Amino acid sequence: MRTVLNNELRALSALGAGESGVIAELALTAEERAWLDAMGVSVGRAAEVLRHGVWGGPLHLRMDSGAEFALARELAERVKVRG
Amino acid sequence: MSAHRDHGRGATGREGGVEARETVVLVGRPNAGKSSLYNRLTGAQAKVGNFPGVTVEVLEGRVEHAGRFVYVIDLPGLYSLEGGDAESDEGVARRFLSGLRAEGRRVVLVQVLDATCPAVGLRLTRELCGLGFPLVIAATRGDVLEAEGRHFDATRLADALGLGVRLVSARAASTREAVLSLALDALGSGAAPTVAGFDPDALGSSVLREADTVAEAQRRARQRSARLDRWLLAPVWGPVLFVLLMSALFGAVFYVADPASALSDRMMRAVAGVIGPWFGAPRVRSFVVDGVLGGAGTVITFLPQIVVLTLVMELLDASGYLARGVFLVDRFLRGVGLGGRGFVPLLTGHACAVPAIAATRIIRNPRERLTAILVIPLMTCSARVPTYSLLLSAFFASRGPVFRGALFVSLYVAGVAMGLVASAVLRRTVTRGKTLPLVIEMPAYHRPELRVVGRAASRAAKNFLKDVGTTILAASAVLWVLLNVPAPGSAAVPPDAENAAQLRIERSVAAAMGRALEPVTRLAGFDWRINVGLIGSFGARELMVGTLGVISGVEDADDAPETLAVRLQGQRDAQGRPRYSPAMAAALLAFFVVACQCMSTVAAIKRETRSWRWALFTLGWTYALGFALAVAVYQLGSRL
Repeated sequence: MRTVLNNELRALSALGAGESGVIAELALTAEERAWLDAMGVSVGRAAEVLRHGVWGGPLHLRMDSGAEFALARELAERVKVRG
Repeated sequence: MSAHRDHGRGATGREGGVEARETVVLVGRPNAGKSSLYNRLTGAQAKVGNFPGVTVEVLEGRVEHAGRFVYVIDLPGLYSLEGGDAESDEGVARRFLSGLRAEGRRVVLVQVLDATCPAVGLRLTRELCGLGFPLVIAATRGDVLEAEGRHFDATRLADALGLGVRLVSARAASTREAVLSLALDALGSGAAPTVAGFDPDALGSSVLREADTVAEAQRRARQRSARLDRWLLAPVWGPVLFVLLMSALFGAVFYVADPASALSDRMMRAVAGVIGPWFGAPRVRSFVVDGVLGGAGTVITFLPQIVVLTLVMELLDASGYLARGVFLVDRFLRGVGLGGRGFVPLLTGHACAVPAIAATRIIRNPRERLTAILVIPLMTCSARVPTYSLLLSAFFASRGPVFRGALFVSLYVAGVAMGLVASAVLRRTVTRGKTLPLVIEMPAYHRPELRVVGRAASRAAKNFLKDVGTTILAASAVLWVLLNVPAPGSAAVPPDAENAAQLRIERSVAAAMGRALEPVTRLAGFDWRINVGLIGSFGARELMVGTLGVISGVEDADDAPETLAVRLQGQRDAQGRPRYSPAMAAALLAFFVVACQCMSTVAAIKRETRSWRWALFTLGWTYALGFALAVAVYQLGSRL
């Protein structure tokens, strides 16, 4: 796992496969935020991008809890992470 | 221990007494081990509960425990009780729990929590605490923890939350006693949780103590899953493997269809041989043998397909692969308003729409599921093939095999294209609404519990027989009446008349309907004979060939379609012109591509949506579009 080196805010979708960051902001609706929270994706949690789906498909993520998720790219674009 | 399916008697806290029904409701995240626990508690003696306004499958069983009768209800897997629209699983669960309270039941919630990763489950606990029902936690997968040398501190969790907590394994026989006692004790006290907010992550970490060996075991499990994912989710190979696997599933459904059809034919002939002579009057015998037994044969034909499909889908879901499939194809189907889970039902629809409609249960979003149900009838099912073949060989024989082959393939492609377009249109109109972009758990690969998978298949078969089977039988009987009973004013056909079958159908109610429709259907080139064929083939599309055969005086047209093809080509009208043209054949093909010309599909839609509304809507829009296309094709074709 490579951690994002600089400390600037980046979209989760901008991380390459094998890169990880800590979730810093969720620019989501209340419903989307509640849904992600129920899945264990919330501010302060570390997420590693395992792979990107082909042709703009979802991201395959592993959280620091060990749980893995597929997350639509359009949501991942609005999840900001820091290295 | 015993379990009962008798819902007729009012089970109460005390049998025969007047206390409110004691109800244990299992609630938990998908893959938390809820189905296994439900089977353990009820002995799998379950039926799908009939709860007003609830369209998803909610299982209910009645069990005896410590001399009292208790209902056990299994809600769909939930990630959260918040968010989600009213028709989502979350919305249904909320409404369902309010309904139980309004019904006056005494309810205790049992949260099924995966003890191997408690933190995510405890987020749901936090929401359940606010509902005002007594709540206990059954922490599952105790056997897995033990095997991995990990320790789950149930006492600590119970103290932190002020709730009853028990670590169990669904495989252990003692689990039933432990969970029911825990639940009924909480119900007895009647106290709802009082715990204030807590941090699920901190609490989850504090109750799960990892053994020294666990890090290594987890690392190995993660490596195993990662190795498999490298292949199964690879950018090129992943989708290819998925499509191959799904094609194998499609093939399996297709493969069992023929032997099942032959077997049901043999069975029905044997039964007809036995009971046929009981009925002296030929008309009554024909009704029983062709109408009722014919319908029963149709039902039996579908049964193995339903079982195979359910088995494979449950295996894929329980193994963790289905979530990978969704990951791979979600992007492609999202564009037309369907998610990745819609792929499997749409593909299966090419074998048969009936099991495919049942397979839409894997789609969690209710609007996406309804959309998939509404467009599955457009996929080119195997029952269309005999009619396609007949029309292609009867009217396009002179164009050569390459042309016919290309036309045949284009009919398949047209079905898929129409389905995708229809999906995109429906999602912007009748099934429009907000859907959450894909968020799906990718569980580690694991070996499915075959007993649970087997029971799901058996439940699917029973429900099919009960719900779809009865509708098919009724529709089959009605079709027999239409095709065999003389229309008012028509003379009855003497049984010994030459061409009795042809005369009977020509004088039938269906023929009268066909003639009445002719002024309109002429626009598409369909005369009353074609209309009767369409009425007859509503029982099953492949019956089009047989019905046209009877009208054209060809015995056993199913076994010798080429004879019928020649007969259709040679038919002339009163002016000596060919009665049917290639333009009419093309129009009929266009109609068959789109129209939901199948009573079994209509019955399946009614069953899955729990309403005639969507079944009739499907009939309405596919017939209207099918006929409009047929008219366009005929009018254009006639001018070329």
